[in-house]
Amino acid sequence: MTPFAAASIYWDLPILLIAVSLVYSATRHDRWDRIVKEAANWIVRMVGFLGGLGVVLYILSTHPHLWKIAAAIGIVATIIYYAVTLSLFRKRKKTAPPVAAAK
Amino acid sequence: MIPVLPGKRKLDPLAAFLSYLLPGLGQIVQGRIGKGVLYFVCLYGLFFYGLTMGSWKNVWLGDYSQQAEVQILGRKLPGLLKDLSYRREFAGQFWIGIAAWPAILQYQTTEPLPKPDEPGKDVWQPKPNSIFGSHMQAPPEAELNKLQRDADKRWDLGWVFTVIAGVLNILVIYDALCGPVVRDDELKPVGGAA
Repeated sequence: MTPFAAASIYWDLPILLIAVSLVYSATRHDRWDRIVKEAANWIVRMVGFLGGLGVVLYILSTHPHLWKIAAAIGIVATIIYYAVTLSLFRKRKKTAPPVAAAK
Repeated sequence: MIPVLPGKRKLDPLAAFLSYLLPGLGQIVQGRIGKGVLYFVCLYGLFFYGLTMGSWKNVWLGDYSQQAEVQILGRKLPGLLKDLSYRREFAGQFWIGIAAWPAILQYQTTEPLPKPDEPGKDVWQPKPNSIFGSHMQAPPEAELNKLQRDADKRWDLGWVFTVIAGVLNILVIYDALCGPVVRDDELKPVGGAA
């Protein structure tokens, strides 16, 4: 089996990412603009998280002596990941006005 | 303008049941056609894509009555619960609805899987069902071993896809039952246009 074919399961993952993001987002909203925006956010978050994890594990498995670099990449990636995703959350919260009780 | 709290949500059990049968059907009946079609395409796409990855042999529920007992908290699991404990994946796959029903029919009609120490278990073959043939029938262990050995990791990833599709349909059923988590009409202003 060729290395390309051996790695082919990774080509199946985008289908999973897109379907899961769209369905989950559609269960949270009825408006299409919000569904698409939330789905896009989830795709970015999942790709970022899994991709970062993949890079770190790849470095650790192929060059174990570079574990310090792998750890540094992991820490920086985690900080960037949370900075980006938290800003996305904050933006979404700003658009929703506070709910008050009707009297 | 003062936003007001929404009224109590109305439950729609019929739509929920329809969404169980076919993902998105409940939403289509409710008039949310676009969302219904989105659910149907995504979940059936995911489920059947996973089935294809697993050579159409990763959705089944076998009769494990001949196998060793399973105990939880000191109690032996009876019939269906025991079978599900041997084949946990089906507890997720079941929720995709009609698409998983052939597995239930096969479970009811196929003879039990042979014991691990039974002579001739390696050449044992279940009889095909008169309607569905071998579709969603519990495959013999020798065939499973061959699939996992020869089909790279796609067979395993395939059943993961089918389980995720089934579990996601639980969210879709909930959406049909009582609407989306965030309702777009939640923040209607008092005394003015939205």
